[in-house]
Amino acid sequence: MSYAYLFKYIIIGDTGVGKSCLLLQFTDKRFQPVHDLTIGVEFGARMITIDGRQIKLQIWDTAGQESFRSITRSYYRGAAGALLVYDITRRDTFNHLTTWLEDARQHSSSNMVIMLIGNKSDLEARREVKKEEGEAFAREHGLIFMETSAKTAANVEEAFINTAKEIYEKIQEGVFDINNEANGIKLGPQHSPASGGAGGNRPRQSSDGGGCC
Amino acid sequence: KDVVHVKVKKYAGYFNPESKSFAVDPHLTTFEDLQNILIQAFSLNGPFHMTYLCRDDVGDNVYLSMLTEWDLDAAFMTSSDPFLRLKLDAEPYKDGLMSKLPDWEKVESPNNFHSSLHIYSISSVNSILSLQQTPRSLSNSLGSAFNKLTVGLGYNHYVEEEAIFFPSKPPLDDAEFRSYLDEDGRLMKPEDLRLRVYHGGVTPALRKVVWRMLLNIFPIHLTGRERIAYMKRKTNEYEQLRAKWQARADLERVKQISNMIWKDVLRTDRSHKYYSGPDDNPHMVALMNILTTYALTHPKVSYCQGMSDLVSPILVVMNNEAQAYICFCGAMLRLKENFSRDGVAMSTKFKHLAMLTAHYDEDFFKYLQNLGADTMFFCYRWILLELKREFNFEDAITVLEASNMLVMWSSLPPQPPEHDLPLYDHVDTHCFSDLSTSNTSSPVENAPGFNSTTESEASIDCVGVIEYSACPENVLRLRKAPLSAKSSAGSPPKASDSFLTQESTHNLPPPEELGCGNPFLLFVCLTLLLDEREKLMATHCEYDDLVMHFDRLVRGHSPRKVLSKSMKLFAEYLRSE
Repeated sequence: MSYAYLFKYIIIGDTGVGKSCLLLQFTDKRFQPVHDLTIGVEFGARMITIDGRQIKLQIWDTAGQESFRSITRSYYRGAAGALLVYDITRRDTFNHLTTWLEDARQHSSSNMVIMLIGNKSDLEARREVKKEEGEAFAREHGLIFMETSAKTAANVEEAFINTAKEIYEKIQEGVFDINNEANGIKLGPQHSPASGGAGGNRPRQSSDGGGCC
Repeated sequence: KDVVHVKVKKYAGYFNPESKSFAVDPHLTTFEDLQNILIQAFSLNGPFHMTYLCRDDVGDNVYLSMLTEWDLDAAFMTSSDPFLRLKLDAEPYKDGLMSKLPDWEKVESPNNFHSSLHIYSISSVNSILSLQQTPRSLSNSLGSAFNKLTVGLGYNHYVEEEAIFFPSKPPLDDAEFRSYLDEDGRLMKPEDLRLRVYHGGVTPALRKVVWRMLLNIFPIHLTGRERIAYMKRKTNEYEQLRAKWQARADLERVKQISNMIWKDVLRTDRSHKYYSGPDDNPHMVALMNILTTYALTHPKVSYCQGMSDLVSPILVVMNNEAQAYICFCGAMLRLKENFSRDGVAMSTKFKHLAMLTAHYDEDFFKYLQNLGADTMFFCYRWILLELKREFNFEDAITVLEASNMLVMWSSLPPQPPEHDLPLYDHVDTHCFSDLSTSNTSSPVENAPGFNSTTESEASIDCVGVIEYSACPENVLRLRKAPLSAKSSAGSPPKASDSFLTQESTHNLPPPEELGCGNPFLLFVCLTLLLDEREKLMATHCEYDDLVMHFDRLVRGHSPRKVLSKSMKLFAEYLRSE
């Protein structure tokens, strides 16, 4: 299938916070209460539309356990967006955010858009982390924030799509060098013939061209 | 031609056609031999009519009758590569079935053949070859050779056309197993037992006993009685280890580890009936106990995700927590390096798999390179879990799934512990020493033959000390190599960033180094890759498509087919060494 851009995402966060379930809800629109333990990295992909343009999200779902970090780190490089997930019913998963964030920032491009996600918002009765705490953390570290529920699908679409919108805006503003794949963005196959030689460093031009149709 | 591969489809009335394949030596096989093979292979007891596929002058594929020695010669000469295709009508006189179904077999194009497996039963070829020397016993040898063949074939009715390489023997049963033991129940030749299991698996009832042997938990030369006593003593030892941390469940470290493990146990093989149902299923509790005990008594390894997948089938087979723990300790002597944080073992395995792929299929490897997949990281789960998740594990352990692991394990040379299998590692100061010193008569001090870490580390080194070879019958041989091999095997080369050099794809590492001591695993991985190469290369795909393609195949591979092909590749590799 053709697309204008491909954005590479990673999903990170402690084990058991619901990373794979978020991905499954986003790509398959279903919830699987017992999901296989992720070993290493698994994948998902979905096409979305922003400003009438097809964008393929390629999502790398990483294993949460620390022992896998040596391998998951190598995946940070070349990601345009990251979903950093914690579980609102487990305080420790919130406490570990700083470590995850440091890790992500250290191993990724400085332009990577990071969305902080407090998952399992359907379990209000077992909440250990207040929404305000999440918001404060996000503000302090310059992240976008959202609470989601992979079970009820609340905010799941929004989380993935808002991240994409932010990346898209950065492309339009010329912040991302889209010809460097290490940034996690790739021009789609439909781009090259349509924009005739826009392979150069002019992302804004080519996106303007697409916008007028 | 020295070998002709034959594929036969038998049609009888309106039943679905039955397919079998084998190989024969065209110089030795007479028309009568071939008829005998078919009679035995399909248990025919009436007249039958044979036709063979050949290409006529115009280049069309046609089936011609095979009625005489001349026809057979012609068939051998013109047999369409890679197979001589035969059709067999077992009810030739019943109202002209063949005429009713003019189109009843679509002739596949040679391109399709290319990707299919060329598996044949070498044992039958050898048997036929051996006839040359003893022409008088011809019919007898033929009989027994084909008995073997048909037992292998008849082993399963839905046997695939390709699947003869594995199983090349029926599953090991009690009676035959006895023949590997002396009168007191000592296992006489551990290598032979492994080879036997490698070629056919074991019957489910015997699995428990044989897994314990394959997992190297017994010191050598124990009698049957001694093994029973040993298991009792070890069970007791395990229960004491477990009781210690359970008594200190309030310790922060114990709590932390057991919580972490529980979270994963909740997500391990829950679709399997053994672990299904409510979350306090006793089998899940057993799984957690095993992993927690292991983590706390092996602080250097501790717990890592993936371990629960490894314990799970062992627990299902043993159906006993303590015994499963002991077996897990045996398995982990070899597997713990995969979980080590430095990642050396894993990266060496990735590198070796890349070398193998480049060696066996340069085009496909180039294709992977273009996708940026030549690091083989996408095979992480395969290697970490020794493919446990790639095969079906539904409804009790199916014969096939179990034999998959069994076969893998049986491809490894025996490494029995010198005295006693240690059930714990050096107990670290942090949490468990505190537990163990609280009880002076702890098994830590009392365990006979326990020499702290050094012993268990020594046995790890031993894992590398192995020697493989393929003997003429295309079967695997295992040998313990002289200790001199140890140095090279013990220190795997570091994976470098510039992944493969031209030279490295030509010269594969020797079997004692390949895959850090489990070379066969890499051949199974290679088979999984090559099985999909046509499909993948035909489509325009990107790295994630590639990985998602393999993710979708989780639990979906056919072990029989995969093992057959892997064994063939492995045997070829060993022969070339």
